Amino acid sequence: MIQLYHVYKNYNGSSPALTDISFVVEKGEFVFLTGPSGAGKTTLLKLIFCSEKPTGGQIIIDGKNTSRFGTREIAELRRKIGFIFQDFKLLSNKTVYKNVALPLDIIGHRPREIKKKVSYVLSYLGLQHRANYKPLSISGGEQQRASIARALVKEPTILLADEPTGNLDPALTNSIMELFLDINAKGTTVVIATHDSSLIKKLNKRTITLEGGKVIQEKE
Amino acid sequence: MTISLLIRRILFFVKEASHNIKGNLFTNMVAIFTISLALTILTSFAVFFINMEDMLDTFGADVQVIVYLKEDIRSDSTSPMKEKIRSFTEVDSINYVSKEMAIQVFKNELKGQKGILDELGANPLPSSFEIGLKKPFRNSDGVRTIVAKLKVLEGIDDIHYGQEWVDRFTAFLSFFKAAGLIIGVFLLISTIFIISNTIRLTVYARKEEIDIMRLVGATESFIKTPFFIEGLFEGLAGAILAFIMFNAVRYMLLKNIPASFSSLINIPFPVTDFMIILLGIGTAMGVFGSFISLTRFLKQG
Repeated sequence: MIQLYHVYKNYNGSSPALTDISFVVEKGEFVFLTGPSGAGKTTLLKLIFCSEKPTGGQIIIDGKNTSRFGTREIAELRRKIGFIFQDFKLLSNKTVYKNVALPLDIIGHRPREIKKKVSYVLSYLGLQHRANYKPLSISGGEQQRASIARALVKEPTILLADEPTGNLDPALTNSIMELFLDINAKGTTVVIATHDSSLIKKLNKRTITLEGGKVIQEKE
Repeated sequence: MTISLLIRRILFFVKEASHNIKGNLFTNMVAIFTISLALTILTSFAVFFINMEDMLDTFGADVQVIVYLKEDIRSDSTSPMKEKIRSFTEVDSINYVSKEMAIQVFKNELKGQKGILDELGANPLPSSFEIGLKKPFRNSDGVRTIVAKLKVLEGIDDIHYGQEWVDRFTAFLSFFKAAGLIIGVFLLISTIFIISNTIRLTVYARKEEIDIMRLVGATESFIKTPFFIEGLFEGLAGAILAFIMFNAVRYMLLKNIPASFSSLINIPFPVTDFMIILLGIGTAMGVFGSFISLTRFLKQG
């Protein structure tokens, strides 16, 4: 469960990125965060992921207040959360396979188990033939899928995605969304930041709309 | 952490480190070469300093006090006197030189000019004690203390020691040791500084990688360990290279400098000990260098 209470975020010398944000995402829920570019969607995801700290307010994840987290607790939280980054954040000197296996290496899974899980998720995302390629030698869409594969391979309890279908064609977008719905059906909480209104309409899920750093609309 | 997880972790870290070394070969080679140069300079200084100190210590053995005995001293009183002097804490060795031995030495020194000695008639040379001092007392203060103790003994005519020479030698020795210590500490600090900065280059080259590792849930120790292994490897390889360079330079010097100076570049320990010490210092500096640079780097991030 993700709980936000009166969360503020200011960057030095600019207008507030987020102002008084409060909402709760229940365990196993599927939520869209939407709004125009610069509305604060990415900032909000970063705060939940603890890669930035709120200027004010409280963020509670699975009953723990993240403002008191040290580096170890942050690392533990990130092992439970799958994050799909807008800019993929893949290690350019490692193969797709190694990139996807990294979260499992960090957790300390057995090599056999890692191989099985990585192969499964790669074939599910149609990337098996790219397993031994380095990220810079594959297409943008494939890099995005590699980033998705890395987020899903550890079977996270929470999945945060920042514009996960931005580089994908409509057919692939549909199949990725099917995938998200599928893992959501298995109990994973899913929060997706997107400005793709057709996607939101089609899936008809709870949607929180941000504008200028404020929640302007919430639709169940 | 279970044993199997620990083994998996170690294998993973070693694999990561070797992968990183191969992937950043140029930066790693630069680091190894810099470390080896810094260690070669440090080693050369240490070897020169230790040898120089040893050489000065042998000069110090020349610090000697000679006690001339009165002409009328009874022959049976020299033995108790010798024992008395030997019991002084400053005394390392004592040697009795009788009148006869003294004239014999004198005669040997004046070979070919026997005529002069014949004219002397009776033996004019006094009997004496030649006193060698223990290492800590081979200086002005030590000499003054023993001389004060000797002066109160009966049967002593005169005490000789090169006061001026001892004073100069003592002053030079203190200056040499202080200068050596300062230069040594300065070199050691610069070496650590150079090594940590060189390793920082390899850390900065992988800033993006470290950030991504953090984002996917790696703990600080998980990120740091492969770097420590790399630092250890760089230190070790740098030390091996330094050992080779030092010996090559030493070999060339031995061929080209006068033999009398060669003792200054002797390796003051058995070669295996020297190798172990150098490898130990190199490895420790490699790990310490990565520790400093990583701690600074991770704090910033």
